[in-house]
Amino acid sequence: MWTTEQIIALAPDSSSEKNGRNLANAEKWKTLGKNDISLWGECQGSGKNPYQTVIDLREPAFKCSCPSRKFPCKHALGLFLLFAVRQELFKSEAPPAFCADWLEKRDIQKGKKAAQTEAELTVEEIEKREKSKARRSKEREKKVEEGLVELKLWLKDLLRQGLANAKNQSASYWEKTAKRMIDAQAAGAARMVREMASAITKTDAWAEEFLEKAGKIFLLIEAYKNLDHLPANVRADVRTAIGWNLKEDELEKAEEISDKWLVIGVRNYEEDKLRVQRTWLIGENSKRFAMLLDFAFQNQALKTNFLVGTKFEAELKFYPSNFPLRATVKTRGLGLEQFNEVAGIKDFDELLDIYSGAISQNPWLEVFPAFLEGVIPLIIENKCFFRDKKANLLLLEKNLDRQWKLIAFSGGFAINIFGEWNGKSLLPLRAFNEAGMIVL
Amino acid sequence: MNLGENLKAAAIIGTSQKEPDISNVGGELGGVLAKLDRTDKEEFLLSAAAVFSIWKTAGRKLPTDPNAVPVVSEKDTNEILSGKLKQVFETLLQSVNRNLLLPEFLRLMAKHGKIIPFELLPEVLSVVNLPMKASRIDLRHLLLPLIGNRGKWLAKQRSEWHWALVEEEGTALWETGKLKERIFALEFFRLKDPAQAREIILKDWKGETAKEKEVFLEVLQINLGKADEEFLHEVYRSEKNIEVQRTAFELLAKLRSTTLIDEIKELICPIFSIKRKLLVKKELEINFPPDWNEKTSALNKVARNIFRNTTEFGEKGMALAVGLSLIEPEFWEEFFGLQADEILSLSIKSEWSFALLAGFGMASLRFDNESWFVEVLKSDSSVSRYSRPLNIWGERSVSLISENTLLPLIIANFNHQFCQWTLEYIPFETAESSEYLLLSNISPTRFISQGRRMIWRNLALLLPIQLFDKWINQLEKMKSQKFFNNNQIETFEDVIDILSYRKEYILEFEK
Repeated sequence: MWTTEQIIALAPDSSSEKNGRNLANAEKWKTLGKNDISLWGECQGSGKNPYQTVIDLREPAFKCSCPSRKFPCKHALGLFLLFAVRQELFKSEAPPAFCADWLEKRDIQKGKKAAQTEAELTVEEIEKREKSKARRSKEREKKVEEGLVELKLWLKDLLRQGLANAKNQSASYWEKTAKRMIDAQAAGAARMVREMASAITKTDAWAEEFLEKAGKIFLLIEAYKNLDHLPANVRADVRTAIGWNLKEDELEKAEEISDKWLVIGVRNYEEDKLRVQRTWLIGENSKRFAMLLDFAFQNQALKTNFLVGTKFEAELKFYPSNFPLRATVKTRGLGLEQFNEVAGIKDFDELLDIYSGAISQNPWLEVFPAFLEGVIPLIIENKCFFRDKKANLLLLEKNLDRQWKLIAFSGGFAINIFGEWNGKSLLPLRAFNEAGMIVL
Repeated sequence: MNLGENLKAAAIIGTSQKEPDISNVGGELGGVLAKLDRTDKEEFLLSAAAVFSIWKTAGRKLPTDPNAVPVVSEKDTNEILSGKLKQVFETLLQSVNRNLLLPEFLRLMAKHGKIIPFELLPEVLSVVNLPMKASRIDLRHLLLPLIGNRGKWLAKQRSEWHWALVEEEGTALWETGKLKERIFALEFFRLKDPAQAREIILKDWKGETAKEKEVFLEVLQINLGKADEEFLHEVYRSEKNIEVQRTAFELLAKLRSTTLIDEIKELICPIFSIKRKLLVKKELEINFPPDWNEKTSALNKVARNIFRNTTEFGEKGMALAVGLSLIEPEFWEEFFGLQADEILSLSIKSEWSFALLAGFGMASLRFDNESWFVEVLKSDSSVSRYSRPLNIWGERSVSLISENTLLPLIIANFNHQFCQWTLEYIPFETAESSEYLLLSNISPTRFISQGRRMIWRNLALLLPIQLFDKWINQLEKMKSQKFFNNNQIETFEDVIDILSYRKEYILEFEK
């Protein structure tokens, strides 16, 4: 059921992948076992006692007695990889204590969490919580407002003097403004400033790109100024673009959808020493796209692990937005299944139409899910494109490894793709055809 | 100028000098822009940029491909590597032991009629750009039959991968490629048609540099045969560059019954005579003729190159040793009418003992003659500890001993006595290898002074599968011994890794 590609996609970095692969070798494991919901094994490391590794297959979730801070660690990856291809090595038996204890603890914790959310707070407690929230929110709003006023002045000054002058500025000039935005608790605005700084260093079409980004920031500043007059969902989008992050327990009135959710792509990247994971889902019945966002500092564990190509039953809560994509898992059923592929969009015009609709709802939308069917990857003048049946060309983000892997996989034949479209180029995350799937 | 250009011009120069111009913009976009507040020039420019950017993104038109649908790859009928073997293959591609293990893995793939998974082809086709010295083989020859039609289709699309089209475009690769590509093309021709490859070398021989000549000659090792003798002999006789000359000599030395060997026998045989003293004592006498140096000038040149920095040999002795190394040891049994041990016991008493032992030693290795080799080792021990002939030529021949000849011989026989001899007498790396081989029989303390990881790794590669478990268990035990340092423990772990991989894929292929 599990494939190497799916498991490798869980590796926190390339060295974990490499080390995990090395441990996917029966010789390295002193014991190997499984039952319906879990796997376990003991791997001899450099210490006296072997490391005890457990995988809860229902999510999946991992536990290992090794001191590694990476998550999943190389032992968990190695054990899972070995299971993917050599299930016969794992004896079906009752789990040993180290496995049973951990599984039991997890189940108890889940029960407690559910009970906690269900527990009703007293009126006083609610009032107190709301008051404190409102005070914090007000303080932040003031900080953001002051920060954005400064940002606007800075932008105007920049344009008054001209970009030719700005192009000669050192990196610290841009970074100073970005940091000011961080201090103002407007991390989204800080990111946009950094994007402007990176645009201005380019040699090709730098001024267009810079202006585009400057215009987008200005739109945000103006929208924030008029926040009270905007509809609730637009307000939420403005706040999100500025860097407001709603906590899950603040999603009281959020839209909820129960469905079987297909994990169609995962993207991992780093931003400001933070590991970011975007997991893309599509509802089997609702056909709704959902994006789960998870963050972790450096090697700390991400909260969730999803295997591309699997589906699970869950109730998702969508964050308020004029074009809602981001969601969080409210409740989740146990167990995972592999899914049968679903149909995607057959031509790029349709994708662009839907995308236009999306940015008319939320102009700060950063990425958009693109599920394409029957496209051919090809290289034209050193750039990689997808070609649809109408011979339209969609540019791919520059990444040689991904490009050539896709072309090799396709062999010139049409394939299906899931990726992230940013309005200019597509970053493919997964490709599949009748022969199988690759995770990119 | 269109709107984009107008906005850009104002932004670059600065609004203090140029106001953004939107006068020519009509339609819905013009309508929206007209509604913008123009009181503040900078704010107007930023608002117009925001509107224009969203308008552009929302209405983006894609380019179309003016070309016909691209040519597709031909279907592959061979089974694609999958499951555990695919996982192991991917791991090997990233492993530090990749160069060591891939050749065996690729050979097993070919034997079982499997081809490389399509999505791994880019990585595999690029693998040749990485250092491959350790494997001592150009992996590309092993990869060629495994890339399938998909691999060839892919290779056409990227110049770095054109080597994979050698079958169709080998001549162009030889004529216009860089040195690395020319060598590869030549190797390919040589594998396919040895005579054709020789003709190709000959065609441009005079125009090639000494370095090119040397490396092209080395290619002739592939399918080396009697038909190459004339060319090699000519190069050996007439080439001015010593490295080229030596390469030709080494190749000639690998051939049996050559003109060169006849010439050398003709030179050497007359200088030997056995004198009987009293009743039973015999003595090997060597009398060099006055014109010896003249007759052995080419041999001398090669010998000096082989024994450079050696002071124990004079010019005559060096030429004698190198000459002897070309002659199969059994010849001397017939020539002298004596057994190997008798010949060697006479040799060590000779004033030319260094040259004789070195020559006989090299010949026994070259001709894989185990009994002569053991006798040479025994005789060598009778010579002063610090000036053994084997020590002298051992360093120069170490790769020959450790990797090509001796280790397979040891492992094939797994003869404890033979290993003991080797352990005791062979200097440098080979002793370590043998010691390792004997790890279950000797005290682990002997390992403390050893640490040549490459030799251990090579041994792990040559070991037959029946011995894997024994070695792994022993090495695991040794890992926990306190008297090994971290470096040595890493070596043990490395060897365990190699054996674990080998065990895994060999058994999986056999399934």
